[in-house]
Formats: sequence, structure tokens, C-alpha cells
Amino acid sequence: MRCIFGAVLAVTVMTAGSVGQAADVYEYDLVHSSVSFKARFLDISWIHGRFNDVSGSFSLDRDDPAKSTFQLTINVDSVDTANEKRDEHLRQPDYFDTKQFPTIEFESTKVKPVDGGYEVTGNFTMHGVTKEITFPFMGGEEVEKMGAKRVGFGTELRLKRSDFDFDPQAIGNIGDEAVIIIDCAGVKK
Amino acid sequence: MIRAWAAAIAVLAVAAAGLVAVGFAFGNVALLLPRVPPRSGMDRFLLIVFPVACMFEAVLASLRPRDVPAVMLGVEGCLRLLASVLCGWVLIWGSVYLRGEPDWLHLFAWAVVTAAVWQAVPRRQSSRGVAAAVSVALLATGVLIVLGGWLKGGLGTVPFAVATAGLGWRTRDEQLREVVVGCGTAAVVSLLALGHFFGRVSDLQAACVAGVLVGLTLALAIWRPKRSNGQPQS
Repeated sequence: MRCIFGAVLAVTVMTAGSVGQAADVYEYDLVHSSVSFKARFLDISWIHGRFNDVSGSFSLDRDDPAKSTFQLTINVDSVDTANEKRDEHLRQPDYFDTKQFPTIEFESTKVKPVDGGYEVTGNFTMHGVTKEITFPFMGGEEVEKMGAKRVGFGTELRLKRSDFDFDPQAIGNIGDEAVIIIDCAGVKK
Repeated sequence: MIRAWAAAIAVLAVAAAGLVAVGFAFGNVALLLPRVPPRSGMDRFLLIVFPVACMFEAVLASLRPRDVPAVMLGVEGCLRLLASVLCGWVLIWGSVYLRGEPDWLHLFAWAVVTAAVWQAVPRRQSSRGVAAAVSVALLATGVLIVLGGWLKGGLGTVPFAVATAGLGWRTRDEQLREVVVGCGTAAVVSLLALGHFFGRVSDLQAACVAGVLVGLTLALAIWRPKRSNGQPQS
């Protein structure tokens, strides 16, 4: 009897432990990640840039992927196109208006597992306008390196600046469509 | 004969320059079309702050007695300070300046200086020169904003400058000129605030424009050239 009671107790504790670990939470690894973008210049070439200050977290539920969540916050003031004057202009109200809209944010609302990653739907807020977007977020395999459990994801978003209420006069020489490339690693908390 | 030709060429040149200025101003009006509901500081300035400042100036000009007693100036000053605080709050609404722990001292200092400049620019029997000085201050504000990297904000000052100069020069109604000078001054201080808080206009640059504006307009108000009949020119 005592033996059965002990076994039940052990199973209960193990089950409780596995429920607690079902969702793994990872923090955005700024050192090994990048959020970059490119936009057409005069429709003849591409201008590249990146955001240097990004934070976020992912919660991955391996048993029930639909319960996974993704959240990302970009500090727009950290825009960097390798040209200080252009960066300063991008921060002004002609473009990002960083004093009024200091961050670009994404928060997932629906996650679906697909081959090689997830299909993520969520609210993307840029320049004070929130739109629902869906994109494939490929990756998610966990590795244990450098003393921590890590996971990586990547995607490419194609967004129209006019959908986010950017000044139409600022859409001309620089094309309306911008490609945002997110390659991020997360470190397990 | 040569003098007549020179006069005709001068008139044509002035007319052409005027047409270019008006065309440029109208072109820039198109840049300023605000979004409804307002989303940026410039939208709030165009839709809320400037109309309120114009109404405020019109009401004050119509109520103000001809011989302004000191107590009236004090009341006006307090009303302008209140209006500056409220308008400043509207201009930076929703921005990083009102999130987290705002720097209230910096914001209130801006409101006090704005009210002081708005009050100090002379309105009573203001001359065409005062209106022209306010117009030049608007253009200087625009240049500062453009040099800070905000092109649309800087070009947006041109219609206000042209309207202040044009109305201030054309009108013979002194009360209307008072209102024009008051509204122009409100536009100068508001656009300086926008340039500072949303652009890259520094405290020092804004103080220089405001200081020169006050000094120049006070000098112009005191110095009124006499006509041959002994009457001061308007």
C-alpha cells in the first residue's frame, strides 16, 4: 500500500513538473540576432539598414504549438543605415516620427505549426498604425551551446509604408514597399 | 526715360517675386494638409492649437480697451500662460515626452517662455514692420527646422510667413493687424516648440529666434518714423 502511494505521488510530481515545463520561454538575444530592412531607391537599387535596439521574447509550447507566443519590440531611434544624416532624417516626422511613435511592435495572436517552423499571425504596430499580419517564422529547433539553451527563427516581411500612414510625400524616391528581415535567436530563461 | 524704365522693371520684379512667394506658399499649403483625427504634432498644431490661438487673439483684441491698464496686461499674461500650458500639452500629446516620468520642469519652462514671448511681442498699434518681423521669424524658424532634418515641418512655416506679411502689410485696420501679429507670434512659438520636441531644434536656437523676434518687434514698436505732417506712419 505504501509502495503504491509512493508511486502515485512520484507520478503526480513528475506530471506537475512536465506541465510546468510545457512552455519554454526564451528571451531575444540581441548579440546573435538582427532586424534589418531594405527599400528601393529610385527603383534602381536597394537601401539597406538595421535596427540596433530590439527586445522581445518567445514562449514555445512543444506539446501544443498553438499556445506558443511571439513578441518583439524595436526601438525606432536605433535605426542605422550607415549614414548618420540619413538616419537623423529617418527619425524625423517626415518618416518614422520617433518622438511620437518610438517603437515598432509585434505581438502574436495565433500560431500554427508548419513544416520547419510556425505560421504566425499577430498585430504589427508601426508609425502608430496596427495591422494584422501573417508570416512563416522558420526555425524553432533547440540547441544547447555556450551554457544555455537556444532557439532561432527567421523570416522576411514585405510591408507597404502607405498602409502604415507614412507621409505620401516621403514615398517617392524611396519605394513604398519595405522588406524587413528578422533573424533572431532566443536564450532560454 | 531711363528712370521710368527702371521703375517699371522694379515693379515687375517685385510683382514676380510676390507671385513666386504666393505660389510657393500655396504649394506648401498642400504639404500641410492635416490628418483627421490628428496623429502628429503638426496635425494637432494645424487642427487645434493654431485655430484656438487665433480665436484667443481675436477675442482679446476685441475686448481690450484702448488705454490698456497694467492689471489688464497682468490678466492677459496669465491667460497666455494658461493657453501656453494647454497648447503645449496638446502639441506633445501621446509623445515620448508624456510617457514614463516626464521632465515637467523642462516642459513648464518651455510653456513659461512661450507665454512670455507671445505676450512680449507688441500688438497695440503694431506697425507693418512688426508684422514683417514676425514673418521673418517664421521663416527663420522654418530654416532651423529644415536644417535639423525635418523638411516638411520647415517648409510648412512658409504659408504662415506669407500670410502674416501679406495681411499685416495690406490691412489698414489696426485691430486686425493686432490679431495678425498675435496669431503670427503664436505660430512662431508653436512651430519652434514642434521643431524642438519633434525635430532637432535646440533650446539655444529656439531662444535665439524668440529673443531676436521680441527685441526687433519692441524696437520697431518704439521707433515709428514720422510723416511730413508729423503723424507716425502705420
